[in-house]
Amino acid sequence: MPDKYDVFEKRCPMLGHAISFKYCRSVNSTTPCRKIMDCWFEQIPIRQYLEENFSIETIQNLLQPPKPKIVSLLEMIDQARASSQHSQT
Amino acid sequence: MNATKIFLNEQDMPRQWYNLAADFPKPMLPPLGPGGQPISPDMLAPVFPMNLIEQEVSSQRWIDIPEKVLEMYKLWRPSPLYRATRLEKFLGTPAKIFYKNEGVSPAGSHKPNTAIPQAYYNKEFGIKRLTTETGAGQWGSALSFACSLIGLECKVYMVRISFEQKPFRRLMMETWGGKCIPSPSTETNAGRKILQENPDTPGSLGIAISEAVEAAVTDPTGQTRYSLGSVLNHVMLHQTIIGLEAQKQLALAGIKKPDVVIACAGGGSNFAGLAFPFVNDKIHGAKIDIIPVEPSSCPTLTKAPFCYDFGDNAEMTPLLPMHSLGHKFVPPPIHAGGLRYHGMAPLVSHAAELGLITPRAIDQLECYEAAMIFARTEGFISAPETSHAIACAIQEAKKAKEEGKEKVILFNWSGHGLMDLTGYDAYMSGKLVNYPLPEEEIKKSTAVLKDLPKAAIKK
Repeated sequence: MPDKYDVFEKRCPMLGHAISFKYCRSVNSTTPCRKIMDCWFEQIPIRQYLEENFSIETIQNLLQPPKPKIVSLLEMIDQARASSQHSQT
Repeated sequence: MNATKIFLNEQDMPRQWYNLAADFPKPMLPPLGPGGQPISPDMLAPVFPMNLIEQEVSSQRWIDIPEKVLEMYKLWRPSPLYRATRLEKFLGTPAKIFYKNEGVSPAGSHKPNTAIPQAYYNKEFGIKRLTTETGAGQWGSALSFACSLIGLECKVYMVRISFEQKPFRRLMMETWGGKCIPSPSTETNAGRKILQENPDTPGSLGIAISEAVEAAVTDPTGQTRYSLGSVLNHVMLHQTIIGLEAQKQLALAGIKKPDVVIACAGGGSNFAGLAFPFVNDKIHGAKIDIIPVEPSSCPTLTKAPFCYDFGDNAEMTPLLPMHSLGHKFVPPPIHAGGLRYHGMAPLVSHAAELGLITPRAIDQLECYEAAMIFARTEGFISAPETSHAIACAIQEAKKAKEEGKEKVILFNWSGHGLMDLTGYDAYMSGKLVNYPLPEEEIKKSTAVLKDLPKAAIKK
């Protein structure tokens, strides 16, 4: 679904190069990047945009900061093991 | 005539890393699991070799640097200590400003200081290949470089959109022999699942990390591990060679001790690298101001309480002791990508809580202005993160001028910004604005922490 803001571009602080708004709003398939609000609030009425296009639950999830690395690693170890076992059965 | 560069002979390079955890007046609090139990070393074994995990949990003060690592360090170490005489003259300050130039490494930053030993210890443990993730490619480059020297395979999962748009970083990795794979890939379950749902996905950093971890965990030979370039204790440890060298170089310049030590603080590794040896001096009586610098728009050390905080919205993940703005905090925008961690490295958080370091926040316009002054006096174009340290050094130099004191200021010039010039473009074209975080926002954000356990530390 094209969006009127998709033509906007800016530098992504995580990736280190220019990206379009389309990437930020759909990076996780159907959900936005967790940094979409802090990256785009200057150029777009981003809170209003999100409220019009995403569920309350999705917006609340966006308000969570990234997990500490060690915590993420433990989670990903478990996920990788579970996924591997599932694909073998 | 005063020397501009103070060199250390290779044979005088420090032969041990320094572990600050051994000298804390109060010991570190362990990270907690979901059940309130500390995270055990075994839990990390699928992704890191046990010799690195031992360093991660070590309380030994000095840890020998293996001879083979020292030999590889010699490619660019000891890094030069510069006297910033042109910057001093520009500022008209009586202060003596020194900076440690970590941009002289083959990868252009301090990152190889840990990439080399991580590759070495994995090789010693019998590991054949390392995996990691990268966005812009700085850490992927450093690890590819390290693996090429050590003789390990290196597989870097690079976010697909970056893979396509950042050919130079990708080419750096491939020049060093790293296998750079666009993520999501067909090599992992995580990647295949994403591609099945959305074949045209541009990828994300989260997917790339999942792929790198999965590749390590599920290798049936058990000869693959994952590598991380920030936050963890063993990464801080390896970086301390920066400060240990600086101590010797200052002595060669006739300086007994610096008055102020400064570095930017994102994941904490370049701050820890320069500062921790001086924190040791401070613990043992030296009077030194040690300043980690962070952006005023995303403070973690300067305005946040010290407590246990959850890492996720469901509050199911382990609790970690850290300075935190609360797990519901969303920082405003800033261009220094490496400085946007929710939680600081636990060792740095602990040092701040004990009053051993004095964090400072500086806004991004002042940082870019400082980087421009630095480029036009000292010549080097700084990474956006590095500009925070320069801005703080200039603040301190101006303060010394006002006070009429001949202070010695030392900061870490952690890397060049030649691959990150778009931020300079934005600054010079007037597109950057400041975003200080209002007190009201801080209070609202940290309100979620009030019911969590308080970290039991007394100064």
